[in-house]
Amino acid sequence: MANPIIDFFAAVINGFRNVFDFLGTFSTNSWFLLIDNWDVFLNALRTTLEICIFSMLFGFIIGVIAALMKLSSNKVIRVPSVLYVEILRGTPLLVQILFMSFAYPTLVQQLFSVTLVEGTWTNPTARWDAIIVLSLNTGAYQAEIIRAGISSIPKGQLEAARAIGLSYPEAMAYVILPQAFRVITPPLANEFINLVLNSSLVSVIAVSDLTQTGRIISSRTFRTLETWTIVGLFYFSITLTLSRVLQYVEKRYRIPGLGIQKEESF
Amino acid sequence: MIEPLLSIRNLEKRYNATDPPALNGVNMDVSKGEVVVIIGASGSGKSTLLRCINRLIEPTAGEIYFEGLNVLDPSYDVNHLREQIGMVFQNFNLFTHLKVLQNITLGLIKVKKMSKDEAEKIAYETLRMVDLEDKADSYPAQLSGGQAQRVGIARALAMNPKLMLFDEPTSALDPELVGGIIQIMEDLAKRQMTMVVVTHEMGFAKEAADRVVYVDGGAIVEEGSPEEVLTNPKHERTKQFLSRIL
Repeated sequence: MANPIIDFFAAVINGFRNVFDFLGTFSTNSWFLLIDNWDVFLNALRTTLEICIFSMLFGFIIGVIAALMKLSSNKVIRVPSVLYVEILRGTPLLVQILFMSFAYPTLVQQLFSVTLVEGTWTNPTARWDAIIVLSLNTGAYQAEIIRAGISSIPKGQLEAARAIGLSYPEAMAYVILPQAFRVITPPLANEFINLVLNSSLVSVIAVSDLTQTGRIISSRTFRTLETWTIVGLFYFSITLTLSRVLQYVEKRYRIPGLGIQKEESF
Repeated sequence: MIEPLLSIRNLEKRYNATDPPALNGVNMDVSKGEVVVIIGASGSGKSTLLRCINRLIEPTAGEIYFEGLNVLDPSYDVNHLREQIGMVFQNFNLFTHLKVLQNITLGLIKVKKMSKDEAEKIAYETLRMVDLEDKADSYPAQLSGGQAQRVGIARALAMNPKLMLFDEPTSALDPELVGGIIQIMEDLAKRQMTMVVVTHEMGFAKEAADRVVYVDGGAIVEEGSPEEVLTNPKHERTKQFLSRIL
């Protein structure tokens, strides 16, 4: 007797078996390299997460400060911020990473004529090099996003805040920034995801992140398809989680009349 | 003679050196409890004048005395000045991210340094005055224009100001909502609140104003009681302006 439900599940199971059969043709049990190298992958994931979380945090702080500096009417405050943003956005991240790792210690040596000590400010470890460069890089992009967000808040909001007696910093902190952050959550989320993906570039300076680890394992096992698929999936799991968390934050702090209201088609 | 609450002397504002000044030597006194209505065409400088009083706009020359102190003096704390002067805006300018109640308590907590409980008590009392207690938990975007402006007035009133500035408070409202706002302002006038009001509502000027000031070209052209200025204007420019709007 034909049962559509059983037929359906049979088809689904059959489909899965076909997929596994296809993958199995590359080599039996070759995907076990994930389990064999589980600890190594986990360490790499931890490194990538650590670099991304620190950079996100520092980058955000830098972004807020740079955005406020850029909005200043005082040239002495505004110009450094403009230069910073232009330089960091106008040069490749890969070049910035290589500069930090190889050129920065030389620069320090020539400027201050000090002996370089690994692990201090004169010659930071590769991991700190990565965090510093990524923070500065994402900070520049975030500064532009935050500045645009602040500028999008109607002038009357600042006027009203000042009119009740709040100082400029208070008006920024209690009125303008809380509104600006709600407006910029989507582009900021985009930038956070970019940061995670861009972090794979730090593998060139011997930081044992996911990408660097993938390179080591693939050259040791010669299982390139499996290794890079797994590495890709690790990145995907980070960005998927991140975008879900940010979506939740956006919904949680949504306020009528501010930023994106609801998903609407035009 | 009693010293006026607010005293403006030879006030001048130039937005840039080449344009004619937005304010050109304005002199004005406002006594305690007095209601002064400023009328004039758009671009005449009446809004600039109002915004100079609480220094939202910095005048380029002249003096402003509030309770006898020159508020343009560098040593005068501008935030302290604004704490004592309430302002109501044409576009309400309620803080979009805060609920009605928080819109009112923000200034009480951060400027007047009150506790949250104290501030909320005052906020509810003020909301009761404008008959909007039930909207305390709404966001500004959920209010009608008339309700939003009543919250705007409540936000200014809660600070217990010595002077209230109104910048065309009814201009952005639908005609049927204007009356409610005017009613609140007339009540305030009856309760001896000192007010400087920029408006096109001649009904309010006739009913509640002690003095009407006609501004044109950045200067005061004519001032006097509502009867004098609105019904028997002496100046040709005042006559023309009134004939256009009445």
